Amino acid sequence: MKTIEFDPNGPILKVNFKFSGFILASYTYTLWEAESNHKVVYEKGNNQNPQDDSYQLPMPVKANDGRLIQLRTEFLAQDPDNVKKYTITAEVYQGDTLLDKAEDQGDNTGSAQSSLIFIKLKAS
Amino acid sequence: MKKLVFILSWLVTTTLLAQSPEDTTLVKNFRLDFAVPDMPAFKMLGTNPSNILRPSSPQALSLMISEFGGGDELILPKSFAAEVAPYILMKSGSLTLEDYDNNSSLYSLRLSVGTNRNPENNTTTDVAVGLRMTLMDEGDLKNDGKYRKHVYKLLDDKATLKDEYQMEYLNQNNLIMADVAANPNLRAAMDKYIDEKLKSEFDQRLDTLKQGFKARNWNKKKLDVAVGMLGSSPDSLAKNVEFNKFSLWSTYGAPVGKNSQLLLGFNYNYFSNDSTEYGVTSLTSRLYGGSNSYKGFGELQIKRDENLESNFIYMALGGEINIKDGIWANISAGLERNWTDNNSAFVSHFDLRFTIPEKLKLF
Repeated sequence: MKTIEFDPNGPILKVNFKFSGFILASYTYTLWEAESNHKVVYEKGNNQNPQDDSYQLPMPVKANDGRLIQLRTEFLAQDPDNVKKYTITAEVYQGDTLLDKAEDQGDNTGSAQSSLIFIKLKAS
Repeated sequence: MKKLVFILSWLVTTTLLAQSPEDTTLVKNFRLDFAVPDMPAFKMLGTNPSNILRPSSPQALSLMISEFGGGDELILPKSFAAEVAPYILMKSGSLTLEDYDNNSSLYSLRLSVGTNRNPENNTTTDVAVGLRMTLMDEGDLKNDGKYRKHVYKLLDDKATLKDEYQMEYLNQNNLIMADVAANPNLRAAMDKYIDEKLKSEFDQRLDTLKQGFKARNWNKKKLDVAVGMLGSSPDSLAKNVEFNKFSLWSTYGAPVGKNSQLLLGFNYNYFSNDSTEYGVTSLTSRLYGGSNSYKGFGELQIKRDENLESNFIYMALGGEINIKDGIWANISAGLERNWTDNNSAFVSHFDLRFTIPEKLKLF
């Protein structure tokens, strides 16, 4: 699990999801409350249109301290014979600045595959 | 001639003996993404009397060698060609779905280069370059919007259900998600719980969906176009190449019933040198039947050679065999008849084709 620090007094936080390696991917994005199983945000999406795979985190910014980002992806490689590897990335931005990212990489199999990424947010 | 007959017999025998029960599934074995590429550069070298350029799916990298059979004698291979799909090689693992949707023609673009040493003087070298592209491919699942919609729905259902089982696991074990995410052992236990609850139902549904669409799509329409040019070099180092032949191909594939596919090909070659200029035009039809790993074909070709002011007809039978992962053999034999001069000649061809094996991970 990756921990990403942010400025509690800085601009709004945003998370971007990227899917490469020529895959069809459906995902769920969960923002877990700190020290709780309460889901602050729960969204679903797919990689058909990359423009809608970006989500702003709730305000105020400092309220995200200790929260956990979960990206669950179910995917299928479209041409595993030629495009052998996949990469699924979750990037955390504060304003326009990329704070850090978590990646999951692996081999495309041609069968149904899964990926699970966690990022813990910490106020600096 | 005897050697060629022996090779043909051996290939047919081993083909029949090697066919496993699983090869009886039409969908699995007769995929539309033809496994054996035909390279424009290789065609230009003139090692095969057939002028049809069969449609094929792009391979990141493939290789062909030939001239095992020159007429009725077996000789050492003198021809070599390689084909690359530059867009696939360039993008590789960074290719996104959006990249593909915006550049599917570029994805199918293939560049080939071939050389052939003249067996008579062993010094003159032919050099060919070719470019091909798939303009229409109705059978390709990558382009099927309906299939894509179904896959998204299935994957979405799977992710949603996994989230439900995840919450169930957390509640049953009085765990907090952040603690599970931070502890590899707890996470492995949670994943195991989810997988056991989910069983393999979704994977089976996805496979069934894929096979169903392939069954409907395997022999749908396809159109490939290609261009190439051929030059000759007076030395084996291929220096001072002078291009003297330009070629154009177009091949259309269409279903015939449920189990066969017909290819119709057009080819025009323009020859130009110091003394003369002329064209050679061919119309070819080829009918395939069999499985993806083992298939046979019959071919009929009509050719007009303006230089000889002659018409030719070529009839052949052949086969393609997947010897091993990434290695294919292509063999054909037939009769070419000069309709104008009433001369006939027996023509044979054998080549080996190599692609990156499916199990080999290079990128």
